[in-house]
Amino acid sequence: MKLITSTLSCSRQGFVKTVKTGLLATVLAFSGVQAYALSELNVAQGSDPQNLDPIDTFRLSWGSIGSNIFEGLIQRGEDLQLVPGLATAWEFLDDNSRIRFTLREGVSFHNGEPFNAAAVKYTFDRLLGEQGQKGPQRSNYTSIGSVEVIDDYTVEFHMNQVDPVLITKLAGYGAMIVPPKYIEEVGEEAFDRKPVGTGPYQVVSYEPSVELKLARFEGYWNGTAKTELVNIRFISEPATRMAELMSGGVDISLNVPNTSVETLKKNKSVDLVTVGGPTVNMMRFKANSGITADARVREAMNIAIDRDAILNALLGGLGESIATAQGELSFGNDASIKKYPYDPARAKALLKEAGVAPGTDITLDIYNSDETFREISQVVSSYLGMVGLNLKIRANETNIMASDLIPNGKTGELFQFGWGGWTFDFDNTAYLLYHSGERFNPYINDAKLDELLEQQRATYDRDVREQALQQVAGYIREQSLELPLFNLATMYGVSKKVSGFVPAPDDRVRYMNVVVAE
Amino acid sequence: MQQLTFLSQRLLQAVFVTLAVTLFVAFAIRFTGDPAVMMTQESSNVTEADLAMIRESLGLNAPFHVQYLQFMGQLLTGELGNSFFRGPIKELIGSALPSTLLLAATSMVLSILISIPLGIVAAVKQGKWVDQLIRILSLTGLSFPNFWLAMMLVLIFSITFNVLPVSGFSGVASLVLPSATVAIVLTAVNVRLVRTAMLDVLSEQYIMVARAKGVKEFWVIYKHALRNSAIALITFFGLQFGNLIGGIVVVERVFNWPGMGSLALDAIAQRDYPLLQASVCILAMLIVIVNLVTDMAYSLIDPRIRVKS
Amino acid sequence: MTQQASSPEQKCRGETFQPKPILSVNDLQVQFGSTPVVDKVSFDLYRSRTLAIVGESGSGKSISSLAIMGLVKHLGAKVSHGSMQFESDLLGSVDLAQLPEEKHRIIRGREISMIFQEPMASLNPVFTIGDQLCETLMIHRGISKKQAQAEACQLLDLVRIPQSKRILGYYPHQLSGGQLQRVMIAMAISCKPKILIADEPTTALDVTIQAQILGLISDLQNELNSGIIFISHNMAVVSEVADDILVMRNSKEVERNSMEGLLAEPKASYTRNLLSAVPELGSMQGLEKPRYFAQYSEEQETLPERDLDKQVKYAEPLLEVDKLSVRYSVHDGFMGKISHYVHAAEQVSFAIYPGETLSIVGESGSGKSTVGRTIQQLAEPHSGEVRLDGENLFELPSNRKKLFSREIQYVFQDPYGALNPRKTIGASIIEPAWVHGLVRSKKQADERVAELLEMVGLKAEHARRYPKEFSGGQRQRICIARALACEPKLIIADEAVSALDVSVQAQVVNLFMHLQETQGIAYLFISHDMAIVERISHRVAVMYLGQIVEIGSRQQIFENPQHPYTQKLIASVPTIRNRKQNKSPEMSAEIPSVIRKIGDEPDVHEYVEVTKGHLVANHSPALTN
Repeated sequence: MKLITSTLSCSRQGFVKTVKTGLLATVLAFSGVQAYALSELNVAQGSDPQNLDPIDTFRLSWGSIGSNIFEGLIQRGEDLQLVPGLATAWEFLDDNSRIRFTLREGVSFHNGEPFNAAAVKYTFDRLLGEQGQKGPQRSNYTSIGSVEVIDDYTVEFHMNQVDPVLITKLAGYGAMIVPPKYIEEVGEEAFDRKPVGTGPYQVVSYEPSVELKLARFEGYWNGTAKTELVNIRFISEPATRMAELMSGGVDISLNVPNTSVETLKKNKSVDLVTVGGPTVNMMRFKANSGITADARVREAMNIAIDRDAILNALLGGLGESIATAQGELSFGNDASIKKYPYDPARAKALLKEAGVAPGTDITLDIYNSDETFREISQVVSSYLGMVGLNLKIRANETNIMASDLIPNGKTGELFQFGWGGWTFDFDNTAYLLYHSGERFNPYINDAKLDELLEQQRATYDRDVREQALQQVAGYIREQSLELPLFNLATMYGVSKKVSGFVPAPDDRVRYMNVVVAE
Repeated sequence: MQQLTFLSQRLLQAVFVTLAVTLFVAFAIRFTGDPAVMMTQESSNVTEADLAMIRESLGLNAPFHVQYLQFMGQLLTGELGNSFFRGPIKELIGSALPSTLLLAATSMVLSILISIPLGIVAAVKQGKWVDQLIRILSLTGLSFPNFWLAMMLVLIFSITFNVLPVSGFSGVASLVLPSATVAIVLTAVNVRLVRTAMLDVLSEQYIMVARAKGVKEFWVIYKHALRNSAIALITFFGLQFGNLIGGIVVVERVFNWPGMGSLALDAIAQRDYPLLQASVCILAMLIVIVNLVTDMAYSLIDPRIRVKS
Repeated sequence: MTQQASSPEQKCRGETFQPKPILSVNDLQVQFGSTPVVDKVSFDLYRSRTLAIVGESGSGKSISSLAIMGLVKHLGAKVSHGSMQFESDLLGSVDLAQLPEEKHRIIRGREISMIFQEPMASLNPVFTIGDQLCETLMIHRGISKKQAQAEACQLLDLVRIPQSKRILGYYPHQLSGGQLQRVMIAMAISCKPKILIADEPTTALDVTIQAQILGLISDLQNELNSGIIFISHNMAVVSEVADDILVMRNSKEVERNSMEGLLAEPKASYTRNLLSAVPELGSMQGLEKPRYFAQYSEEQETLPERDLDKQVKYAEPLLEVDKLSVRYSVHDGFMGKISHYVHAAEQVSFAIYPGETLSIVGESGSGKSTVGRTIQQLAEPHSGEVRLDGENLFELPSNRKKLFSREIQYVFQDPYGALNPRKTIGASIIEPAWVHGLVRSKKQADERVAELLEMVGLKAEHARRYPKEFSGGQRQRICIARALACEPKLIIADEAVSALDVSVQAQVVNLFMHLQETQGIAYLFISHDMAIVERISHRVAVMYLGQIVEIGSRQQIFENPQHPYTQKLIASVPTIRNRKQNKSPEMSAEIPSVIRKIGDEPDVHEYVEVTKGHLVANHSPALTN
């Protein structure tokens, strides 16, 4: 009975009163008096978001947890389609300055608190207010001026400015609807550790960096989860994660390292499940100075590299080479833009034309934590060596790279850039990388790019936006402003006992329909 | 009374060491990265203004000495304050410290239980094949990186034979592999220490005297010699505790052991200043305390220190 | 084994038959690997008689005794040849060379027991005296712990340790060396052994204690009728205790005879050399100057005894020590407050003149080394002055102090620890000269090293070798060469020859005198060995409990000792000439402590001048008892 008391002691009295039968069953199961074995799914993922409050994090690791606990007004499924979530319908009013949402009725939070307009208003007031300032999510939603409650199941968003990506963003972390009463009762800190949402699973216990235990929420509005318990374990060491998967310690492992691809493919009890992801790998140029200020040099480097050869040799072919900083699923991708060909002869000619002497030294800055990219860099280095460029690789601490070298423009001629454009909207990537004055854009300052990027942000018109974004992509390709490499697949290691698992391109895995065979 | 003087001196020393360590850590971690950047690493649309806001809310805009003094103040009251991302540090350490201590103690005991008999055999059979074999094994043990050793053990016992869990902390079974990893590396060192300590003692005249009295060789070794080498060994083992903690940090990560090492590594990765400062401070104190206890134990065993002449 | 060394009859009074030896060693050979360390040695041991085995270090004398104990295998050696027939009461007549370990263990410690050289190292530091005494009793007699303790108490009484009951609970470090050796003896005789082996039992002890221990062993022999094998390097000691003697050298037997026989007519030149190298107290009677030892090589005398050919001028003193006191504080209590002082030296005054040797004699704890260390500025004085050429050492600016440390050099007791094993001896020798800027080039340094090496009787080409290639005596020569490198006016020699074998000791003493003759160096010679002091000194100061009790010329001290302590010291020294006449002094005397509470100042001696230059402390009656 020890476990019961400990479980109860971390909940508040108000919470206990409204405990649903489902949770009680769970509690009983933990106390060792269970009459039957509960179905259970064990998952491993590489890191712990450390804080389960949706507005306090931006980590992919939250996505695979939060998507099972929380819901937004809008939902985006594994197919990246936007569908009604807690809102059943929405309409743009007054020349797009207001958006009216009709809310779903009969939905309640895990603690029994009803979902209604007040909860929506509370969610966004909290996000845009003082509490939101402490976290990284707020900045994505500053286009929202205020939220007005029309009636219990109707709200209106008053917009500060046009935000074409808003609907997509409403499926994002920051817009996850949270329970006002519960937060007021238990406080922000307790909410970080044991949050309550409307999703198919509720938090049973959370031991930071160790394990999160989820139990099926019996009062879920949209069906019932097939597996009663989900244990998500945080295993930071990739080799250990894989060992757990192969030994049957976990049924599903996220964050499969590239080095394990071959092993998993050969393993008889595990499947490697992949899906095209949002992550693009590339190198960027110090485009405003040195030899890389010359577009010919940049183009020469781009065509000196055989992307597909690297992809097949180092990444097991799990991905696509790309022409611009986006994958095929991205809004704004222009399939007509040609990938860079592999043409070392022309590369040499271009370098000669630009007056670059053979044997010229250039430097590439990479993150020291990314073993795969280190290997890629070494191959790139030898390709560049073949056209007469001597590439030195400099590995840096993640933090130094992200908070000093890139923002302050202290990188070498080339630097690593990996980007997970979770919105699958090129704006999300392009504005950040090409608009002048952005933190991660220390070198490009181009009036034409600025204009195009600002233009597409000012309208909800998808055609106008798509055209502008495609123009941006075309311009970058034309000027060879960066060195795009691959759009990597998102990989999952899944036990053959598991059925009903749908890989999510954006890491927002949902376990509702997953079943583990005994 | 002299012991008390000694104790108070050592305590003072401990406080100083801990202070120096935390000051260094607090300074070094601020020099190498920004938690606000780490938080927003996977985000788009982050502006300098957003970062500034996050820094302000984390209290990072205050001058270094203010931040440090605030941390020390919390440390003195035993409150330890809050982690940037993970809530009260006291709770985090409260759950991590026992796990680390459990792993450390198990490994140490395991290693001592193995290394004492082996070391004695090696010393007694000095130069014989048994000694050579033990020395070769010990050298082999020393040359294993513990990361590699851990993965090998996992491969054999968890994946191939599937008898032990790979990682985590769920009962005695999950303690086996991590403590074996630490103990193997530790034993490789300890066997040599025991051997050397025993050889030193065995060459003492009182050992020959004991033999000359007609004492059985077994008792010469296990009573007369071991009790004396224990004095040296306790010091060795105590000093090793620092190394042990160092090894445990790596092993904790591999086995996903929810201890202080994992806590500190996570804190470094996220630049969670208060959490890192607190966990390093606790680890430093732990090492200092163990060394202190070692010294006290030493004086209990050695009558030359215990009994004032 | 046909030749009978001596007849044991006179000791076994009342016995009419020819007694059988209890131990008969025949052609014994012990090897380390293939190197023999005891080579064809034979001897017999009889009840109630003492056989001395004499030799210098490495002669194999200790290995022989360990072979009898059956313990050589623990040193990695083995008995390779010969027999050791022992008349055991338990096992009958057995050959110890062939005896299996289980049986040997029954005899060991019970019928044959052993006392070792270093009492401090012989007892296990982590067990109490009682535990260690009882262990033997319980192993061999099968008695209970309680009975054993009662018996241990009696044994301690037997070896005349007072408060035996309390001592049983003590740890070895709480006892003095003399007491520990008594405990060792108690342990050795606890089963009334037939044979008692005593391996250098008094070498590590002070001279007055030595006399007590020798007396004790001899008394116990009378009680137990044991046969004793007495191993020693010291002819004078041996001459006092032994009935028969075996001289060993380089693992081989040199000479075997009765003690009288050997003293009357030493056959081997080695034996003669050994005898002549023994500094005999009183041999200098009537002589004014220090005197060289005679030296023999193989057959003939190569260097005869002769006086030191140099006159000391007693005009301006080189070094004056004036009312020097040195105290070490003893901390106690929680705050580490000073509660006691060790009064290591108290109001010590003397002067050394150029080219003179002043010896300080005394036993451990007398403060003689403290005085030397303070002059060398290794210890801080509590009060008083040390003046070199009229300047006070403790009030000098540091640059002048450096000059002083050049002019006063030091030679230590342990030549092994004094040299850096990783440096060539040339580098070690010349190092202080570099420091003091006496040599300025490599070439100059090499020349100086060669010159110094020759000066101390070594060869110039030795400069490139490492300390491990040299014997103890050679190393001490190297240390002396290093001291000479600074062209000092004074060398402080602190027990500089104590750790050396007798013959080597004589050579090094000769070297000291030779250097004095040629270089005019003055010595402060600190030693516990009265006989050596008699040889080398112009003047002698006797220290006791941190104070000088008597000072005067060598003749004044040795031929007319006034202070009772001096008299006792001289009387305790064993001499060949007075063999078996020396009466061991009273048994209890341990030196009192020099640790005093704060404010409890010791009485400072006042001196009376007996004859010119001969000062004696006013002694309290307490000391004369």
